[in-house]
Amino acid sequence: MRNLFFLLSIPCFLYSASPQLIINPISIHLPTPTESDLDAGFVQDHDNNIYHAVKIEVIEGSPMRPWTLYLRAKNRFFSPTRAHKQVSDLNWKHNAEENNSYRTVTTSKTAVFSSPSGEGRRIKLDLSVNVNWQDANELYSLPLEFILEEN
Amino acid sequence: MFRSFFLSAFLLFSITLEARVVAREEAVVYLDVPALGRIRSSSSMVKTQAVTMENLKNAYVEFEETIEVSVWSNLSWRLSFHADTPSVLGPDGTEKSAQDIKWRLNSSEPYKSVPLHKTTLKTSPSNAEKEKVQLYGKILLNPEKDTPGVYSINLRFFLETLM
Repeated sequence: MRNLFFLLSIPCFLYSASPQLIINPISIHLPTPTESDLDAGFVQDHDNNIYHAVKIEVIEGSPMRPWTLYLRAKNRFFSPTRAHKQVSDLNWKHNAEENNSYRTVTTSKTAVFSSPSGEGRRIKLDLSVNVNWQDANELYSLPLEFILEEN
Repeated sequence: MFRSFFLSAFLLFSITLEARVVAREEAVVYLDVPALGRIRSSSSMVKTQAVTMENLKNAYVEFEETIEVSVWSNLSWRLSFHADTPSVLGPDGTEKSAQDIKWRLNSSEPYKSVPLHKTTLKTSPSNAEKEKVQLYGKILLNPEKDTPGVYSINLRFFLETLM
């Protein structure tokens, strides 16, 4: 009786498994812009809902609990920072959404998908980056963080 | 017993707190922007209006239209040009030296001969989006040799992006 509560907590700890997050690929190479992309003002990493920039797989936990997936950029500028290319040039949307559904990536957490039931899910995202003739010849990079939270 | 209760409660509370953010993963977005540049010219052919006896008497005539070259570049750039042929095509198949075509970028600078080899027309330390470069030209005429009519020559333009 003395250690009853303590012993009861152990099975709870042993049998609970948190949801898992798998990102593929972890290096997302956007298409190399052409002159016409600079004229158009953007380059997109998707192709008629077939191709997508990144796939996020959330494997449900046990027991299932509601979860939300968030996205945020880790820096305000792309590297190299001397080029002053801002994070607001990067946009995302769900693969199945229309082309006018892109939202701006920010350094604040933005909800990408919520699962009230806690079920696992595969989420495909498209990325688009604003480009123009001001963008110098550089290899730009920006780390994105995907955060999975239980509600 | 109370100690065990509080210990268990604390353990469960800690697990609940830690379980809020359950996973973090990072992906890096790469964008490789190459050096890009483009030129468009209003015309590659410099053509006079019909040269008159009056023009011949003046020994020159200015081109009525300028040649406008538009430059796009995401880096500093250099625009060069040269004449396609060493001679200007005149009326009735006559020819005269391309050196008789003179050009300048604005009215405050002296005219220069159209080069036969690639020569810098303009350089810029910054990027350009449809930056216009206008060439003003004239042709020197020899009243003894040249005849009334139209004179023309093709020019070739080159754009280089500079690192």
